[in-house]
Amino acid sequence: MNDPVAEYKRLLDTAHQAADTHRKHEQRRALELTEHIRDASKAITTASAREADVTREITGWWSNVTRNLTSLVWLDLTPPAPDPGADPRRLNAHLAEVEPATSAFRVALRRALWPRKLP
Amino acid sequence: MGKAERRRRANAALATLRTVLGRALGAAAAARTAAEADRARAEFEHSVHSMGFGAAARSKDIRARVDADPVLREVWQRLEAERDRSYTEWNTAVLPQVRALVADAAPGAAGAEGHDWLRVPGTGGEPPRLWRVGRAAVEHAADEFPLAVPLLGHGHLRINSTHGARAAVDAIVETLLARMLATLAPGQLRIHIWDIGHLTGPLPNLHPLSAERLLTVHDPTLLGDLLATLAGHIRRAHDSALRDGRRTAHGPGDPWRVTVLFGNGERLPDELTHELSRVARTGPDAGVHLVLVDVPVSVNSPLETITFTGPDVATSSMTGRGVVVRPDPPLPAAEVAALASGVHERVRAFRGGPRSFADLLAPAPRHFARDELRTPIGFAEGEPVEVVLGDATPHALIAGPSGSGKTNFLYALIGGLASRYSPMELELYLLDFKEGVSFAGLTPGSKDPSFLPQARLVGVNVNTDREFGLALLRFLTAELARRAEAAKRHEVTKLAELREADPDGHWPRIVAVIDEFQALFSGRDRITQQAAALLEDVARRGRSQGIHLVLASQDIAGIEAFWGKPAVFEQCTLRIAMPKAKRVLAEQNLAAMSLPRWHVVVNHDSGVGHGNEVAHVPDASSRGTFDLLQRDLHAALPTAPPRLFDGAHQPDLVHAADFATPSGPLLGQIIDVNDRAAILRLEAAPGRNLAVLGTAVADAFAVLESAALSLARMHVPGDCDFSVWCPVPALARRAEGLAERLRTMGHDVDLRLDDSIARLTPATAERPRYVIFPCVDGAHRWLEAKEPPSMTSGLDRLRALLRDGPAHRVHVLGWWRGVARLKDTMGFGGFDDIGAWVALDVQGSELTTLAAGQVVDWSPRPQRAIFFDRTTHTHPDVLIPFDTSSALDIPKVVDTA
Repeated sequence: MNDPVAEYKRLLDTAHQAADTHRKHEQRRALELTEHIRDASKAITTASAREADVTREITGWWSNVTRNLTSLVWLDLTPPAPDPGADPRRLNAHLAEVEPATSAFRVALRRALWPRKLP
Repeated sequence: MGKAERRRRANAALATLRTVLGRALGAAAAARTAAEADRARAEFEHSVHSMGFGAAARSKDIRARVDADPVLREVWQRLEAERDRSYTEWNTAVLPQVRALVADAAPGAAGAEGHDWLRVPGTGGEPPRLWRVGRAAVEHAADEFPLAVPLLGHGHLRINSTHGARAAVDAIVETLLARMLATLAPGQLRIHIWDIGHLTGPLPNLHPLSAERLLTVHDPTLLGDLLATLAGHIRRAHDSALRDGRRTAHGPGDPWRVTVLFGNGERLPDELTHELSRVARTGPDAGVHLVLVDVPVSVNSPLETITFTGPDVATSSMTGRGVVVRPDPPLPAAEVAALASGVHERVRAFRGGPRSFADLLAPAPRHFARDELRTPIGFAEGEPVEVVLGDATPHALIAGPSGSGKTNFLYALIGGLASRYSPMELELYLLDFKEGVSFAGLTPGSKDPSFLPQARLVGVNVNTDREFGLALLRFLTAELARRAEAAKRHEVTKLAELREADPDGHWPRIVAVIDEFQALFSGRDRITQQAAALLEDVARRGRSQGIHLVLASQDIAGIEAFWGKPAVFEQCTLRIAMPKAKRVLAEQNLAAMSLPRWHVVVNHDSGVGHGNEVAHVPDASSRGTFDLLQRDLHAALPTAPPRLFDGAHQPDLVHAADFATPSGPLLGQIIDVNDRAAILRLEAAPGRNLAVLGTAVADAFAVLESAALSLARMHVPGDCDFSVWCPVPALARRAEGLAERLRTMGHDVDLRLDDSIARLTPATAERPRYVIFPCVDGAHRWLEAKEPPSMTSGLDRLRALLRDGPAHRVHVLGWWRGVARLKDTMGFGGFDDIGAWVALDVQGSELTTLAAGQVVDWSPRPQRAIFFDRTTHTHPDVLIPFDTSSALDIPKVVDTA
């Protein structure tokens, strides 16, 4: 029988090698994640700024569209709320839909008021 | 289209616009939220990697976050999977191998889980290579595997505790020892425990073992003694291995010695540290192993370490970094105690009670003394403790106060040797200066005719006969010279070589035992000087020639003759200390002070502490012990009986060796190793007369009778004549008795008891004439008368007879009751015609003129005399007058009619 003490320690060395391998992996990943966290912070800043811009523009746009319409009590003027199911990748597409939808609303409103003019 | 319909369409268009705007708002918010979530995941993973997965797995904070956040849980699961990938080989291939390895190297009780294995004591065999002490787990893995350490035959174990971990440490130690008890054969494990912090014993569940001395709890203040004991055992084991040609000092069947030292984390004193390092370095090869708990010491030998980092968490040198070790839970106390009791019972049954004298003996005296003499003399922990007389320990010094068991020890020693070595291998010379007859039983007695075959000489009651001790030393010196001459002839230097070179020669080892040997040096006289010189010579040269001294004394320090001459003591490298013995061991070695009764310290290292072996000496002197051995050996080994010299008894003339075929007149027994009589030379030459001096009537007559009877035996009837003249009526009957005995032997006897003595006898004769003349001075009243016509007196004629007689074969053997009276007889002619004299109760200073002017060192003592023959002696010989009563008995004539 070989020396069981040496054999025991040799087998335990496998665990030590695995630990070394895993430790190196963790160290490498930690470095990568540091970079990633920095990029993610930048992305958050960008997204937050974009969100603020979009919110401000849409709020302004809605105000313009609904200005002077408060006398029209039959018209539902509830402001728009963020759609949680919206796909962030379709933001520009949604913004591009705003003008056509606004034009469609003005045409429909003019017809609803005829023969009177828009306020 | 009606108005209502147009309004509805306007509301719908506004709702569509609101929806579009809501989606835009939602999309913008979702983009931000997604970015935030991505960073949160990255930060979590980063924190896990930073602390390591193992530590993160133990972190409560991480665990709470994972439980609370599904996103993080997802990340955690991914990291776990990554970890498992890293440990794939360990988990799938290696971990089972570790378990299999421990199962193989620590079989049965050595490695079993739980405590079912506790129930049965071990059965023996080779000790396992590993012993389980706990369980371990790789830091990242959940699966545990057994932690096992090597010990017996390999190395030591060190355990470093921490606050709150002592219970776990005790559990490890107790479990380890219990596994050994359940694995090794009962009696094969000796446990020594030293705990610096406990006066009562630690590991109490194992204490049943102490009854058979399988477990010894040592005094916290006497670590030095314990280490010295271990060092001594190691040294002896190595010696034994060298002797037996074994590769390892721990022989098959030798018990293992596991010593548990509980320290307090503080460094030991340098002296103890060095000793401990020495034991650790050399111990494993000799079966001595250490379990060091909180004992910081550098060990230059295989050592595994368990270091506690918490109350029940540790690391281990066996498993290395990244592996968490946990001790096995403590064993049930009752079951451990039951196991210890079971082992104790079996050992007791095996040993069959306390060891006895019979256990010291060999079945037959078949050992060879070529290299040494070796015998057990007692037992330690049930194992025999041996005494060796050989090259390294040529001589022994035994000390102990009166009643401490010295004589019993000597009997154990002699019995052990006699049972091993035949008379061809061993000769014993035994001398006891005590009053008493301690060795007398070794010679044939009236009730028991047996004797010890190896004994060649037994001297008892020699307390006043220091000359006998001197004679023994002279004999040993002569034997040394004889052996040295033989060695020179064969061109060898040692006894072992001589025995090889001269296989047909008789070269036994000689052991001279001198009990109370200090008596030999009790005076400031010539005997002391000569004895000291001879003893030193034998001590120096005896080693190489196989002559060994065993010197026993109550107190060796008081022997003035050896002050400034330490050679004798230095040569006595074997030291035996009885309880309370002083100075026989080294100065710092106080082991004898705490010895219980019937125990001795055996030390083969000149008394230095590490050579101590404490042994219990069984009763070797009571009836049914040594006497039985002696009877058996006597029946099995036919040899001549030993010479007995008993200072309390007068030797019988009839039994004197020289009386069988005397070569001259015997005067008395010489105090000598050999049975030798003082014989007067009586050739036809001037001065060959004898004067017996002193007032001791019986002794004086004994000398004259011995001489007359031996002369009568020497001559055939008719070949010589005897004259027996006794002028003192009170002594007439004794003179008549002698004359009658001489006549019955066929000789002519001229018996005179009156004034006819004054006629004397002619100074010439055709055949030898021996004039036995007691109380010469008593005849002066007749001898002084002057007879006309020549007016010469009887005294003148007597002087002429003394002067002229011997040359014509007429010799006078006379007795004068003092030196002055002899001078009166001899007149101004001096003492030239008295060639030899025997002095009885005469002071030595009175004898100077008779001894050629030299100072005679002699003080009278009962039944002792000194004999001086000016033609042969440089110093007078001390002699013991014979008991002549048997020799004077006249044989009865059987009337056949």
